[in-house]
Amino acid sequence: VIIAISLLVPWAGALGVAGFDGRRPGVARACVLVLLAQFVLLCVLAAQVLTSGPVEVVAGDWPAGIGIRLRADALGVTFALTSMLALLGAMAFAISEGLSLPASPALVLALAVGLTGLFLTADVFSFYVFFELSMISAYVLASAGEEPHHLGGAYLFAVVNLVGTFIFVLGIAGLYHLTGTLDMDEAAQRIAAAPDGSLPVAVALFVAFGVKLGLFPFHLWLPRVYVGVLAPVAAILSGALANIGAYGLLRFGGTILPDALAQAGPVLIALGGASILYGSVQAIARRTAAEVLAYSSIAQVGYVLVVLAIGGPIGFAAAVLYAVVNSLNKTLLFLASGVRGWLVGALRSCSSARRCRSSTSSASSRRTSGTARRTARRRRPRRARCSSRSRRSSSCSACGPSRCSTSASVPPRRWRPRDERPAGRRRGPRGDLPAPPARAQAARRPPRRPGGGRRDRGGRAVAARARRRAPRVAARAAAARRVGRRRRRARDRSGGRRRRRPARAALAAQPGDRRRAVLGAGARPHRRAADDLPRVGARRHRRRRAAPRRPRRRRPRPRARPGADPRAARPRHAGGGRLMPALVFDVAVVWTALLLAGAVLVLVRSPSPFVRILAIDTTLLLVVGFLLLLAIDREQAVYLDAAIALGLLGFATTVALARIEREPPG
Amino acid sequence: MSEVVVSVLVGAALAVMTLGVLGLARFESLQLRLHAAAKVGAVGVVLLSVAAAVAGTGLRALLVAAFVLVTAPVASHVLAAGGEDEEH
Repeated sequence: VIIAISLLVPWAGALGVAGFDGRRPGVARACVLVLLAQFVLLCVLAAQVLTSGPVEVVAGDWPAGIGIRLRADALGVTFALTSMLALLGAMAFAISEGLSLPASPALVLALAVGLTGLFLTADVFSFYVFFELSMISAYVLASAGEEPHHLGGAYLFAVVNLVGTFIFVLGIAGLYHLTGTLDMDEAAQRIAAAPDGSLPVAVALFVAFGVKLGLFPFHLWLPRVYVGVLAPVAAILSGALANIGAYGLLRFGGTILPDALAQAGPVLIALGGASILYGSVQAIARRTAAEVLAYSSIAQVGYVLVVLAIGGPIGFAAAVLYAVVNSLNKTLLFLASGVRGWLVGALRSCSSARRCRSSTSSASSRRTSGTARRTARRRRPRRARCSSRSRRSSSCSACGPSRCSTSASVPPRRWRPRDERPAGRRRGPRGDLPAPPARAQAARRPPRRPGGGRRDRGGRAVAARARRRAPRVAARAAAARRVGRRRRRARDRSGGRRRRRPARAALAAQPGDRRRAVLGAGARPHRRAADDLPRVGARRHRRRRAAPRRPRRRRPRPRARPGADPRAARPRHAGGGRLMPALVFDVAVVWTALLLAGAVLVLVRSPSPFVRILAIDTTLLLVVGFLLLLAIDREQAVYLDAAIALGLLGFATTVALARIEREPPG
Repeated sequence: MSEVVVSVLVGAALAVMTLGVLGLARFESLQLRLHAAAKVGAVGVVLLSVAAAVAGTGLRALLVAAFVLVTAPVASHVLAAGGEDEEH
């Protein structure tokens, strides 16, 4: 009875809510209440299932096999609970953000009906019906939002998943052809009795659920959709809808077609591994939170597939656990990525961005394409913040250029030019790479900050286009150019300053002075190293303008020499008359230790953050070398394992630090 | 024989590593430092792991080499991309 009620509650709720404008908070709250009731019902059901085994109901007193057979077992209830939780979270978040689609509460409830039914049915065909129900509500739900890229994401989602659903129907038809029944248990028994020909069916079902999940060969739609749609919708898609795929794989692969699953094991493991690798590498290479999450969900699904292919009770349990955890995780993360601009205190800018959306963004995002359109949603609040900050700082003449080069206004500035570059070069480091020739020129010209002016070809044209685009954008661009010019001037000045400083450093004899000079050497207008210290130093150095340029950057030399010179160490350990490899080993160990000391010294004393990261990297590599030496000496492979692990750790550390340094979070 | 080979390899690796660390400490710009420090991984560690393989720890040592050869350029690339705004 509880099963039927758990289907009826959201259904009645959806019907009741559908008549009202879902943008009103009261309606949305009613939706959340219904979802909450549904969740409680499912909890009761879960308790019943866990204590006294699966619960079955055949609807409407029909004989079994004709009537809709609902069955709640542990697997289905688990997934149903997870999906409800994801829907609840997304809906609560959507209320706090303001809903943009009038029908969304009703749609979310319809989705809840579909998902509950799908997880609690024992009949392949009603599985399909509920599947369609939830997919259709998801199609409409995905189109929430006011901008073209929202609709684009929804369109892609609908097309790809319709194809997936079609393949699923083909799979069901094949299953019926093989077994002559649509009941899951009976189909499983008949397939077990006569397993011939079940492989094509299994492949069709696998493709259908793989599309749903975004597994490696079928993943192409997933990032574009998850990035394109609104954050709560992305949370629903990844938290609730992706469960269908995982559940389907477990239910159809694990219980109905276990032979085919066992046969396809190696292939599935290979595909899962490919998903993991591809998703992870892509996620590392992405810039915006939504993109990273989208690719990482491809990777996570790969894990589910791998444990599923390993099979056995442990494999299935791991798959269920992983799917559930991943679904809840992704819900939270997508919601958090939506809330990001809010937590860093940009509330006002966000709301102003929302207000000016209709005037500027539709024009600009229609013009841009590809990645930019996909990521435009993430960037817009930042841009708005940038404009307000730069406008404020340019109106405040007392701040001076130094204030503009501090960290406050820099991150948005770094984003801006990439956003408005031509399509091919818009993608982070790869997009930035073709710069060297321009940089070679820039070395001769007065240096230019990448964000200050437009660096790419036809910068004027871009600016002109921006001016045409909308007065607001043009004003922002003008403000940015003004700041850029001032910054360049400031940089010229500071460049002169920098040339002077080493003279000061060379003159400095007192340790205290030396320290200040070292700090001053880091005082290029780098975005974070240079806050207040450099200005103090600059004023002090103004008198020494005539000092010679030559001894620039002398500082590291005396520091590194005592650490890095091997000859100091050698004689001490040369005696002893041991065998050659042992002698080599001793010398090498001490030598490596000295190199380590040198690298650590560089790490401690270097002014530039990137050089410090490089020093960390080198330090770890030296430790890897140390472990290799130990492995040679002891002839134990354990040290090699440790070396690999440490190398991996060092690599991850370097990449992560470099990225954080480049784009400070927040 | 293999002892001599191992010694030579280790010595070469340490020499290159020394040069790399010296470069890391003394060069002026980030790019030059990267250029020097990349040798520590790509040449130094790889030579050491070849030495380990010769010394008899088997193919796993070469795995370390392969791993470093894959990751070191990526790390350098990320650093260079990140630090491209630094002075040259």
